[in-house]
Amino acid sequence: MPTSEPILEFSDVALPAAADGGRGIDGIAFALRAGETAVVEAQPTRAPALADAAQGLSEPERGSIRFLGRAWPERGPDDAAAARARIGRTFQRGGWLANLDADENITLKERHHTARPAPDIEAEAVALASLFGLDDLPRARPAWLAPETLALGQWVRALLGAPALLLLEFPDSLANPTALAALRDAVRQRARNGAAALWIVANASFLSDPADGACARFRIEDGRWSARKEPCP
Amino acid sequence: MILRRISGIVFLMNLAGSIGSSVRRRWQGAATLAGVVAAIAFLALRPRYWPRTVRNVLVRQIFFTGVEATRFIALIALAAGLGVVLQAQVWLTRVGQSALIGPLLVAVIVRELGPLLTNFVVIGRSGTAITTELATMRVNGEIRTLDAQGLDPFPYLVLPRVLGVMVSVFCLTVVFIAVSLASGYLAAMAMGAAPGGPGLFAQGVFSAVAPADIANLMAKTAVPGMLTGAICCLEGLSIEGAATEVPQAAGRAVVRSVGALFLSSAIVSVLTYL
Repeated sequence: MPTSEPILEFSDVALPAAADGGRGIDGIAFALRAGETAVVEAQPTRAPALADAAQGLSEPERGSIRFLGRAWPERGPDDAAAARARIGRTFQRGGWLANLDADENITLKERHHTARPAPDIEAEAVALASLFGLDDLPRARPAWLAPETLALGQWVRALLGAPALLLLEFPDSLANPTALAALRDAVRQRARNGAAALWIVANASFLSDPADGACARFRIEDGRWSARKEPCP
Repeated sequence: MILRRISGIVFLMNLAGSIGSSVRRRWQGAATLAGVVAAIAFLALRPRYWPRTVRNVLVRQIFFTGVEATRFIALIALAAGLGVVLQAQVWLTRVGQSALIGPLLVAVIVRELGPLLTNFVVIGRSGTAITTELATMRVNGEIRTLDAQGLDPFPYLVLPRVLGVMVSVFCLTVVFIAVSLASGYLAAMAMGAAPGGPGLFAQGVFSAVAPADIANLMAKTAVPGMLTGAICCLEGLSIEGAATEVPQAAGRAVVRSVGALFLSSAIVSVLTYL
């Protein structure tokens, strides 16, 4: 159900090199509208830079990044925070607050930005967790949980509520085909409801089936952004 | 000769420059702190910055800084009460001036000792914990995680911690004063040095408390408490991202908080009683 206004739009963006010496990314240009899904094949070291830029957490060297019709620098702090609340993101590394239990981490954004009753949020989170094979939300501190449980918890957090954009960093690194299939289905469902999704993956064959609904495919190689499949119409 | 003069001038210029940059750094630090305190006051009065998640952090902070420290504060107050109140009772009774016990205790415990010792305990116990916690969050990229979820770290992390410390310092000081006066009186009574019954003792203390003492007590708990919270949060969030900076930040936070405590207490005393 594409509409004319992109949810996320990169216009000739160049991202700076990382502080750890990783190369920048040049020439990023794409637009994602409601209901569209795109895949980016990237080295794991560069994914956070792309996702951070999409969320307005880092400044591009060149070009502009617009989310829901407005460039990030045009937004004040409160407006930017409210806009980021519309983005469901999984992190390749970290992504957890150590002084909160995992279930509190998972529901934190929804409890902070909405007035939904806490039991409703929890019930939705538990239902999402069951999709991915978890009996319940993980309730211990993140430091005590297995990496796979944390990964699944991040998926639940990203999908919770009504995100306008899903930023999924390397979900394909999880060797659990059943859970991955459930994630693909859940993302497709969100896209049908009007969300856009950007998958950042390492595996070139991930989501290559037309049935997966990815309308565009890009690659980041040697710091250059290139389209492997025609961008979404 | 000329070279010696030139090197002398260069030395003086360097000295003046280093003093100037040190003063400028301190001035900038004070200005940043004032800005943070003003921002907290601004946000605290706006309900939209108090969603349930921020209220939860406030409750947890008061629980950690206030409730969990009550026993320790009571223990210190017990010791202080035994020392100060007992001495005051004994000596005033000996010189036949036991009627002065109220004003003397108000001057020593209510005006100075209570707020000062309570602030010290809070700085050592909670201030360092706040700095260490926030600095570790920064090292681990948790601040970025909050930002990515649309949770501004200032209203979510700083606002409830600063106000939690402020409220806790006030409540703990009240506990300190009550316990120290009670323990001192009981000790004096046990030694046969009490000037009269507990009603007379309480009346003597309460009648010595002037409105200025109440204002002094509130100012000496609220202002240093707020400054301690703000300084410890600032130091924790100001590190660049190396784990080795965490203990250094905690050390700086303690030193700056103690400095702010003495300076603000002195200013409040001067403004209240001169």
